[in-house]
Amino acid sequence: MRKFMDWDNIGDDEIRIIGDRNTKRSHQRRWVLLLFALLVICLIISIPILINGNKSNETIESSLFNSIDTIEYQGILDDESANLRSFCEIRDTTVETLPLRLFIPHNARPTLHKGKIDKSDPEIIYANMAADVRADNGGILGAFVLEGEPLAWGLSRKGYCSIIDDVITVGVAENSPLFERATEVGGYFFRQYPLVDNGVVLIENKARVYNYLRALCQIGDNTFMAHSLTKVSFHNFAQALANIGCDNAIYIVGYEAYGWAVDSDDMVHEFGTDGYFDSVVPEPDNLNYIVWKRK
Amino acid sequence: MAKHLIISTATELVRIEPQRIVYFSSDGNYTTMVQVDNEMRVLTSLLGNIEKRIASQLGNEGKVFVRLGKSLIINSSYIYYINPARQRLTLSDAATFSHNLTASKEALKQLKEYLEKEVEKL
Repeated sequence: MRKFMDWDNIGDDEIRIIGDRNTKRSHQRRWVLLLFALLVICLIISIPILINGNKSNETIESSLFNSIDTIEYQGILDDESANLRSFCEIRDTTVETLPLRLFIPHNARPTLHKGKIDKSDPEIIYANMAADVRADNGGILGAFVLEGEPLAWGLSRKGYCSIIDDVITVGVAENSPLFERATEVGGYFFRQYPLVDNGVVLIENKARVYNYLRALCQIGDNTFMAHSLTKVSFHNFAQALANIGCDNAIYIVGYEAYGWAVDSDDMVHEFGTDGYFDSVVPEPDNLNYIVWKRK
Repeated sequence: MAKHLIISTATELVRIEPQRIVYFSSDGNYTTMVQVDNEMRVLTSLLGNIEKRIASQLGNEGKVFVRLGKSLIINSSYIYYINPARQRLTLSDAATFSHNLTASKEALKQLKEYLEKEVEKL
């Protein structure tokens, strides 16, 4: 009878000669198992305490944390037309094993902002860095239009976002007529790495890095932002976005980039590292943000 | 005819002689295969599945491959340099390619001991 073998059951401190079926386990393994057993015991003891202590937060937690199996993705982005309040809905979910936080603006209009951003501006319900800025000369990477004024013309990334008459469009194209259109009507335009193009994963950035990534996504006419809550590769991040049904998605600056969102209770949720610039390096003049403001 | 390793998924099939493979590295749900011609191919398969295929398809010949921790399967034929203290492993044919990899000290120590024992057996 063939013996069952879990092929992923191997620690980083172990090696296995394939064909031998004998894992050379480290001596530390026994201690790790012992430690794990102790942790399980501690967890069992502390669960009742945690449950009683957090009863008041139970409703909030259960509504925020859902698995992909329990969410109907067609339904999550429905704007509550009867609700005229402007806020950013924040939803946590997991796709496969990747935890994602979705930021869904309601009754808000998108725009781009360049330069220092006013963190106390009550009109802003979401802000995150949009286009990358070159480290060598401080220029904006890729074409960029601010209120109709073209500030950069490059095509370093094929993903784009245009905002024309408050209509936001996310897509992938080497040449988009929306760039010219944005200059004609006082609109906005920036470029970034593409992640999903018409439902298909499209990775331009092949860097094998794992980090906290963020994306600007569209499902139909609904736009939202997705942040990975753990470090992930570009490919796996894009795949997760495709899996939740994104038609189009482009990268927006993640890692430690500072930003914030304002929820339905006017609570400010910050992300990234505030004060990174000026404390580490001077803040570039061309630092730019995608901003959602109250209508 | 030389034995080939065949990795087949719903969308693709890769057929390659084991000696053409330098190593596999895990990239989440995907695996990158690095070949002796310096080509890299991303396979939509978990590293554990690759290991399973090596064992089932290559049998004894599969012993040339070593699973090193959670994220690497290396072709031991190409081990050129091991330094457990520096967590450094170099896979090279000393001619056309050289790949520097990192792994845990303990895993590299065990790999070093394994190779030393293999020499003693000769």
